Amino acid sequence: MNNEPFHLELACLTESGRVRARNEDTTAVDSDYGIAVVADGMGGHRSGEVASQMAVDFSLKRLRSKIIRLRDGILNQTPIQFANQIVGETNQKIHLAASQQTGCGGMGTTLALAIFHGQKVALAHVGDSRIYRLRAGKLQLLTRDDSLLCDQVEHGLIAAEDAADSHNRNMVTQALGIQASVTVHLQEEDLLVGDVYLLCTDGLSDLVEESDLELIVDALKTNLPMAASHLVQLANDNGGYDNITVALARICEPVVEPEPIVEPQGWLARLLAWLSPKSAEK
Amino acid sequence: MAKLILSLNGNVINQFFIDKASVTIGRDLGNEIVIDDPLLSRQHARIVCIEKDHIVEDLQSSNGTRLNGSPLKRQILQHSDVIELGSHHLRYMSSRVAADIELERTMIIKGLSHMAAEIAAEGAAPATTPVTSVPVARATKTNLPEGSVKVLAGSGRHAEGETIHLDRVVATFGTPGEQLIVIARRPQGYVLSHVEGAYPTRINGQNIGSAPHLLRDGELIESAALRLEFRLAPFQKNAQDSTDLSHKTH
Repeated sequence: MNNEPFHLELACLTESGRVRARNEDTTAVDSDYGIAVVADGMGGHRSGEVASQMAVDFSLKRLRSKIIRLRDGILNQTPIQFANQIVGETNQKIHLAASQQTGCGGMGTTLALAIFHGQKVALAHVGDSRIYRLRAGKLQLLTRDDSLLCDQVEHGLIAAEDAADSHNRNMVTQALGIQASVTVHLQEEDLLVGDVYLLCTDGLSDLVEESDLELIVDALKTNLPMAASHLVQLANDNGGYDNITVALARICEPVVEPEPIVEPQGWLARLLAWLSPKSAEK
Repeated sequence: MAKLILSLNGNVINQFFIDKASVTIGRDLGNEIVIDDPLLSRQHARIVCIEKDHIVEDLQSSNGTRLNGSPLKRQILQHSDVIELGSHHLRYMSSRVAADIELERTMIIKGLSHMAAEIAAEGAAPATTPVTSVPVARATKTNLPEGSVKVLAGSGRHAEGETIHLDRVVATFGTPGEQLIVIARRPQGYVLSHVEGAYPTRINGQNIGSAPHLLRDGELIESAALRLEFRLAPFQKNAQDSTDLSHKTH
């Protein structure tokens, strides 16, 4: 069924951390369709959970139907185009629910999404959930946070190395569900065998140094569930102030179906096979 | 609400609430905070308010500004910081402490682009390339253990007899994709796990299976042909206690 040029390994994990009673993050991976997603919900009562769950469920459902048609060659959209469309629709759906459902007013969620297709990956994000890539042992941040802290640094108001002293740590400038429309950050990257993509919420990226993220993903990339549990564990060991969520995707060589071993038929073929130098080595 | 307490030679002479987006400080009467001190420039320094942050910057004053004794260019103010201008001191008092981060929840606010012109700091060089990586919050200080392994036999990457100090958050041994173990450095100690491979990971001859194992000093780790001896150094706290004791014997 999966005739992609690469084989994809996926894993995801979410935990509430050591301080918060509830987990408002949601994550999912789908290896049949090549999708990884994380979402960090916010809002009163239990609406943060509602928003992040809606974002993941709705976008996954819509993406799958697009990808089926893409694979059947009957879709005139690229993954990056339908990712943009679907994240926009997801925003509207949450925005509508926030205005209609009791206790859901003002709810919102971040979203970071990766769609692996053919030789490329389409990345989309809103808010301060991040996407990193490990390539040749080096971890690189591919996304720019929609956060006040990021704005402050980019406007030269504070130095990047002083950002850890800021009180504006948990302020996002955009999220799904807050307004009727949203600006989705989109990009496309070429895939290489050995690449590992890391999607995470700020519960991980706020508490674990990039050098440690890099070390853990690189050292444990051959066992992604174990890499995910070691990442979450380190965020907990460093305080676990927030919900912690991680999704990992590793690009592997395509799985080659072993050629069926066909015994030569007939006495002449068997004799020739027996005489050939290859079988003599046996 | 944050405020500034003005003092001269340790005597409090005034206090000011920071209730505007920008508060300038100087000798000139047009400033929000006027300090009559010949060592101050007309416009000496200012404080810019961005949501929960108050950022203090020196306005290229002749005699400079110091923050807690160090020359200041631009800095996020923290509760009880002292801004030194000429002979005067301004102490910053805020109910907000950076350590509150664990109690605060994510909020949505407007980005800075709409107000960039008003708050753009003088001489502030906006980052030319977008800064995407913002450092992590200050992690809680944890007392991590100190340990090492000695290679007794068989591992491609490490020579036999070599001692490897376990000073990173994880260390793996073996061959990725074939046979691999990991030792994680955690506050409670070093934790061994079997990552992959057909050969079981053993401690003193016992298969640990897929469960993590908290390593004890002197334990023998085996994974296929690899043999490691684990050594746990005594906690630094104990080491400090012993030096204290040695002082007392004098």
